[in-house]
Amino acid sequence: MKKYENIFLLGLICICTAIGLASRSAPSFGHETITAGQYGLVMGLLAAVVCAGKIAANIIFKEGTYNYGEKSEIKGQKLIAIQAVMMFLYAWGIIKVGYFTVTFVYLMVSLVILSDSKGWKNILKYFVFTTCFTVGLNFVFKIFNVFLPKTPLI
Amino acid sequence: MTAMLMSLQALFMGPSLLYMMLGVILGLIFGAVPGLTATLAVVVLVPLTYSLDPTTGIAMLIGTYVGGVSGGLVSAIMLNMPGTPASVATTFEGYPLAQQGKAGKALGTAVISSFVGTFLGWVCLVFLSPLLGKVALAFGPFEYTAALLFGFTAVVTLAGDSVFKGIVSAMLGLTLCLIGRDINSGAARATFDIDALSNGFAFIPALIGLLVISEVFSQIKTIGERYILPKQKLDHILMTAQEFKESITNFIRSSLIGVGIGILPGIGGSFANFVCYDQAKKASKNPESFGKGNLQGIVASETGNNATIGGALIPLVALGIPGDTVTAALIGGLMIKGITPGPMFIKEYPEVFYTILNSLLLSGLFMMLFMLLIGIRVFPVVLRLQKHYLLPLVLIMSLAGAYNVNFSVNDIWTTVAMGMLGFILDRMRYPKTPIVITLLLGRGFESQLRRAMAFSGGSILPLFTRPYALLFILLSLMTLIPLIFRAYRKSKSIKVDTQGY
Repeated sequence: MKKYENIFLLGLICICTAIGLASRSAPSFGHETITAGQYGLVMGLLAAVVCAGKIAANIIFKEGTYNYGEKSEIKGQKLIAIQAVMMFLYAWGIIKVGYFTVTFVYLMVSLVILSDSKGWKNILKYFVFTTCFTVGLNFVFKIFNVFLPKTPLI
Repeated sequence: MTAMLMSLQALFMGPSLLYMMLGVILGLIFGAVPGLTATLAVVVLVPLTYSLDPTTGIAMLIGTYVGGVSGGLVSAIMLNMPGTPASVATTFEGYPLAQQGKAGKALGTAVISSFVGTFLGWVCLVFLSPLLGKVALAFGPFEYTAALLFGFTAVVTLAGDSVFKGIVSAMLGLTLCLIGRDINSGAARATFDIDALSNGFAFIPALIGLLVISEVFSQIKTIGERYILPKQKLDHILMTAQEFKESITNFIRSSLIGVGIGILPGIGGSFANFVCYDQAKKASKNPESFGKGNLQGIVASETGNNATIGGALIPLVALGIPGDTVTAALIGGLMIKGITPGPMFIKEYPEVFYTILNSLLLSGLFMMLFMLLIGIRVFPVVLRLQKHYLLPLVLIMSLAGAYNVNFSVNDIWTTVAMGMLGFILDRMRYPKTPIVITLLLGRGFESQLRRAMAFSGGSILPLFTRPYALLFILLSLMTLIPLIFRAYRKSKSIKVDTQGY
C-alpha cells in the first residue's frame, strides 16, 4: 500500500506542477501586486513540494498507510470497476441520449449486477421497480420544473 | 412589537401557515436526499411562488430554507452521505453513532440542535440586525483574508490521524481551485484549452462527487451486507436533561459562530458546520472521542448550520445583500413580488421584514415537531432500502442535482471526476474534509488576498493592524499552536507498525 501511495503522490506532483506551470500564462489585470499567474504558479508548485515532502516522509520515517493488523484487500473490486464504467456511460447518456431513458437502463442493469438474486422473478421485480421509479421521477421533475439537458430522447 | 404581532396574525390567517409547513416538508425531503440541496429546493420553489401573495410566498421560501438546511442530517446520520453541504460535519459523529445502534439518539439530538440554532439565529436577527449589518460592512479584503486563514486552520483539526495527509489533501483542493477563470479578470487559467474546464470545478457538484459518489463506491465494496446500517430501534430520541445541560455552551458558541459566518457574504454558510465542529472538538475535554460518536459534534454541526440561516438573513434585511446562495434566491423571490431589498428594507417593507422573522421562528418550531413526531420515524425507513436499490438511486439523484446547480453539463463530469478522486483518497486513507474546505474557500481566499495586496501595495501589515483582521489572526494562532504542540508530543510517543504490500 505504501508503494501505491507513493505512486499516487507522484501523480499529484505531476498534476499540481502542470496546473502551476499552466497558470503562468494567465493574463494580468491592471497593476496587480499578485497576478493570477503568479498566484497559480506559487500555489501549484507549493502543492507539488508538499506532496514530495510526504513521499520523503514515507521513505525516511517509514510512514505509510497503516493496517493496524487488518486484512486490507479490495473486496468487490470487479463490481466497483463495472460501476465506475457504468457511471461514466450514464453521465454520457444523460448529456447525449436522454435522462429518463438512460436512467431506466442504468437502474435496471445496476439492480441486476448488484443484487445477489438474479432469477427471472427478481428480474421482473426489478423491471417493475425501475419502470415505476422512472415514471414517478419524470412526474416529480415536471411538477418541480427540474431542468435536464436537452437530448434527442426523454 | 405591534407590527410583529400583526404579521404573526396574518401568517395564521389564510393559507400562509400551510404553505410554510409545506415548504418545510419539501425542504426536508430535498435536504434528506443526497445530491439534492437546500439551494436547489429554494431555487425550484421560487417560480411556484409567482401566484402567491408576498406573505405566503416568503413564508413558503423561508420554510423551505429551514427544512432544506435541516434535512441533510438524516442521510448524514443514516447513510454517511451528507444531504446538504451544511451537514458534512454531522457525518463525522452521526454515522458512527448510528453504527453503534444509536441512530435515534443521533437524529433526535441533531433535530433539537437544528431548532436551537434556528432560534438563536432568529434572536440575533431580531435584536442585532442593524449592528451586525455594520460589522459586515466593515469587512474589507484584509478581514476576509484573515477570516479565511482562520477557516483553513480547521484543515489541521479535521485532518484525522495524519495532519500531513490532511495538508496534502488541502493543497490539492487549493490547486484545483486554480483551474477555470481568474476570479478578478475572468481570463482563463490552467484550462489546458479544454472547454469543460473553462469554468473550473463548481463547489456543490464537486462536494456531491467527493462525499456522496465516493461513498456509493465505498459501499459497493461491502455489497454483501444488504443494508448500509443494521436494523435498529430508533429510541432515546429526546436529549436527556443532562445532555441538554452539557450542550448549552456548545449551543451558544456554535450559534454565534454560525451567525458570524452567515453574515459574511461570500464565505458561505456551508462552512459553518466545519468551524463549529472544529471548535467543539478543540474545546472538548475528550477530543479523542470525536469521530467515534460524540454527541457534542452533532450539536455543534447542526446548531451552527441552522444559525447561519439567521446570520445570512441579516445582511439581506439590513443591507439588501445576500449572505449566501440561498438568500440570493430569496432576493429573487422578493423581487418577483416587486420588493427590492436594500438598506431601507425594514422601513419600507416592515410587514415583509416581520414575515421573514416570524416565518423563520415558526419554521424552526414546525421542523422540530415534524421531525420528532414523524420525520425521524419515516425518513430512516424510506432511506433504509437495500444497498442494491439505494446506491444506484443515490447516484441518479446526485447527477440530476449536480446538473441543476448551474444547468451545466460540465458539472455532471465534475461530479463523476470528483467521485473517482474521492474513492481514490478513501483507498489511500487520505481525508476528504480538507479538500472540501479548500475547494469551498480557495477561490474566495485568492480573490481577497490579491485584492488586499493590491490595496496595500504588497504590504501584509494591515493584517496585523486592522482590528477584525488581527482578531482572526490571533484566533488562528490560538488554535494552531496547541495543536502543533499536541501533535509533536503525540508523535514522540506513538509507535508505528507499518506493513508493506
